[in-house]
Amino acid sequence: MKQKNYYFRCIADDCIHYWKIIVLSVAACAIISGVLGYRKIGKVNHLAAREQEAVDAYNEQLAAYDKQIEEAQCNIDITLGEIENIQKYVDEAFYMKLDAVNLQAATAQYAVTGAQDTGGVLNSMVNYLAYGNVQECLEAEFGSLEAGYIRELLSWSVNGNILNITVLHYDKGQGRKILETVQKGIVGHVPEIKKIYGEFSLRRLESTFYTKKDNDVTNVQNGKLDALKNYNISLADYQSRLASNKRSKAEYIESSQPEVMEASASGKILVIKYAILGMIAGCVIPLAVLSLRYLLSDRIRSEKELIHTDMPVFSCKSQKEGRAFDTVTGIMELKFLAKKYCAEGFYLNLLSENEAAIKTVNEITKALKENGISVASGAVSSKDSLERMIEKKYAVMVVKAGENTYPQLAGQIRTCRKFGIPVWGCIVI
Amino acid sequence: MEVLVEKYKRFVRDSCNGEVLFFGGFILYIFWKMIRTTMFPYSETVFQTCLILSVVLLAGKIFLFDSYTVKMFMAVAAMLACGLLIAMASGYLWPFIWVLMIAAAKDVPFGKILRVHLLIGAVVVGLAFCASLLGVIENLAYPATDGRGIRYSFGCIYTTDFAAHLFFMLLTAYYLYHKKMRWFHYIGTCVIAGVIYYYCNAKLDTICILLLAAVFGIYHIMRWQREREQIQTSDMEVGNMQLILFKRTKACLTLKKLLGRLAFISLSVISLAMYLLTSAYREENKFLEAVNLAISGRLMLGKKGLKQFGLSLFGKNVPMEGMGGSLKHTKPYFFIDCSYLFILLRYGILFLGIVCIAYGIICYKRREDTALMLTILLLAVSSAIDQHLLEEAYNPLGYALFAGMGEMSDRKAYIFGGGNQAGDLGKAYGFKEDGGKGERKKKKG
Repeated sequence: MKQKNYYFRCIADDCIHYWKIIVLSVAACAIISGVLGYRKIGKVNHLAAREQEAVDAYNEQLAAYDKQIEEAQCNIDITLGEIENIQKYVDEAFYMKLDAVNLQAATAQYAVTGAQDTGGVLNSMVNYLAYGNVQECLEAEFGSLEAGYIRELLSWSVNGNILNITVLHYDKGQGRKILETVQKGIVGHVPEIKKIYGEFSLRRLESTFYTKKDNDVTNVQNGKLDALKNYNISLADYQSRLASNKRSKAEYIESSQPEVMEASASGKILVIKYAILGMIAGCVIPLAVLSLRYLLSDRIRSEKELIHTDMPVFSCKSQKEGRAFDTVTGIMELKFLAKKYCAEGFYLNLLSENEAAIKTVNEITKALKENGISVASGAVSSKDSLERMIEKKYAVMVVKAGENTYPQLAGQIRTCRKFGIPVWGCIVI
Repeated sequence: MEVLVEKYKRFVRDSCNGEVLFFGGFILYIFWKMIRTTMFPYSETVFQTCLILSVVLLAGKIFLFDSYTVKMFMAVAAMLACGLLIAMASGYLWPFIWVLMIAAAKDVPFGKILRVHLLIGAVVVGLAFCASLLGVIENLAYPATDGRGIRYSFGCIYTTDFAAHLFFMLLTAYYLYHKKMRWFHYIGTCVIAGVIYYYCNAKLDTICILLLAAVFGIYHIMRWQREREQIQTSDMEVGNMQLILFKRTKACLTLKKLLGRLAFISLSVISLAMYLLTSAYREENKFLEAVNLAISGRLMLGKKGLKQFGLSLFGKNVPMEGMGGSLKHTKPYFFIDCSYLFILLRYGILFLGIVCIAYGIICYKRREDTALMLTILLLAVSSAIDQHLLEEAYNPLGYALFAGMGEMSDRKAYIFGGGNQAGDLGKAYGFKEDGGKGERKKKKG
């Protein structure tokens, strides 16, 4: 396996090593979860008559709250719509901008003569003003948005055979312009009236422009503003009612919700689901614990990691990778070191009694023996091994990545230091 | 009694036990915090007990094993004091615990902390995922407001919480293993992003995950190109020597510096930008409204929060009602999904400043670590759209403030101890006297 996978390999090794605990954990978690699942079914399997009554009453009350909330919301929506409309009118309508004590009035008078049915002719003109055709003229001149509001400024009256048209405005020039537009419309409509009522003559009498005061305007304006105010008050009232209903519902749910709300549908399936989750947890938790142990322990994870601590490391790759041992870099370096210090041999201090470590050590020993360098090896845990190490005078540590820890390595180095044995470095397996 | 005292003295003498205490408290705390982000039932009493135990272990590590310079001590003490003042002002103890955990991580290898965090996250979220699919715990299914089907939370309390867990786990994994990433890892990350978008409809988290893959992918390509730098010679000569240009290496080094500087200011700049955008937000402003819609109404909610609660030095009690934990919600929705505004409103201006400074110091101390700079940049961006910057169950990067720079420094101390063993070894092997980092020199003859 490549060096970078030592992490997972060591965790996998631990998992294999502790397989019994993992199996026990899976079984235990599955059983505990199964029991929890069974208890959950047991709680809700059947509802007693009293429980059912309580649930029904609870649901009824909730439904009542929901209805009140819905009604309040509906009222709020309607009120908001009304407020929007009135507010728009108040903001945009020309009538609302009129100054009741300084109204600019523009008046035109027309006399109808020579008609067979003067009343009919005058009614037609009034209808023209009241029911729509004049709208086209106003729209053409002022645009559709303003035309709608201009209609309110227009008023008319009939006295005998005289038609009076009045336009109120806050701006004299605009009032005049509107009046002229209406007059054009009236004149343009005359041929249509003649087709029905026969020939007649429409004589324009004087147009007058003056300022007037009209309390009715104030009354109408105040009426609209009062309506807006009332709607706003209603809105606030509905909103507080809605909030109060929601609060009451939340409090009711918190205080009165029955413990058991409904009977469970499928008991066995729930137990199986809980058991499956238990098995998953039973696998995951030990794996997590082993991973945590690996992460938190001070294990030497790789050769590279040890190199970063400035510890000399001799790279001795195993025969599995197809290289003869005597050509491996680490072996050569050890040979050169032995020659440099004129050492007959050195001691390989095994920190791990792992099979792979022992095998590698044996192969290194063999390779070095062929070059006349005697190598002793063993774990320095007994008096004999310590004696052999002292005899050899030089030591090289052999650590198993993923198994041996930094404290272990440090302990061995301290032992060597105590007996004055120089440590040349480490071999990582 | 004497035996206990002796054991205690032996325990305190061994510096490794500090790490044991830290990880004991850390694992306990993180485990429960993560459980609380899932639909697994838990006992509040047990959680409180484990919380107290964690605090005791972490405090024990700080008092028994950590040593500080005067400056560091003042800084840590000030941060803890700020945490306590926030607890008194707003009732939230989490800032204090966050500071405690970060202080307790002093000299603990940062890589180790991240690996443990990743492992616990993978286990908890993985189990929650399996449990939700089996129906053992509820797999909350929310209808998407834009009519794009159902959003599943896969055992977490909300869909975006599940997506955030995946994002932060991927972020941690990318930082730890960025040198070992291959093309299929990046493809896999994009697939995960697609799955999250399809099943959870977590648009912004999906973008963050794709950004993560893209950013690290580009960095990977740059590193790979630098490693394969062809020697480019120009016609220019200096003295009698031809000038050699390493264009890609130069570009890589320039990028490294730039990333370091960007990461240094990222949190401060983005937090300020979010605050300004939020406070300036008006529905009538088309640009801000477009930004607001793009980030799912976060500006609007942030503005509401600012208006309602305002700013304070040590924070206020800001009750929030989210969509998580249940499908039934009767209270109106109000949740600040931006970490910066979340911290600003709940923990105050001072604490937000502390957090920005802390991450700035991390970026300054570890400016050589380009991968960390990229990670913090991505964190800063994602914190604008989620509230997990200070949540230990999601974000483990804060520990880098005091954590050990590498895993090797304590190992060297272990092996070589206080004596000049390194020198002895060096002599034996022909190393430099100072146990130098240069290449090995083989002595001839």
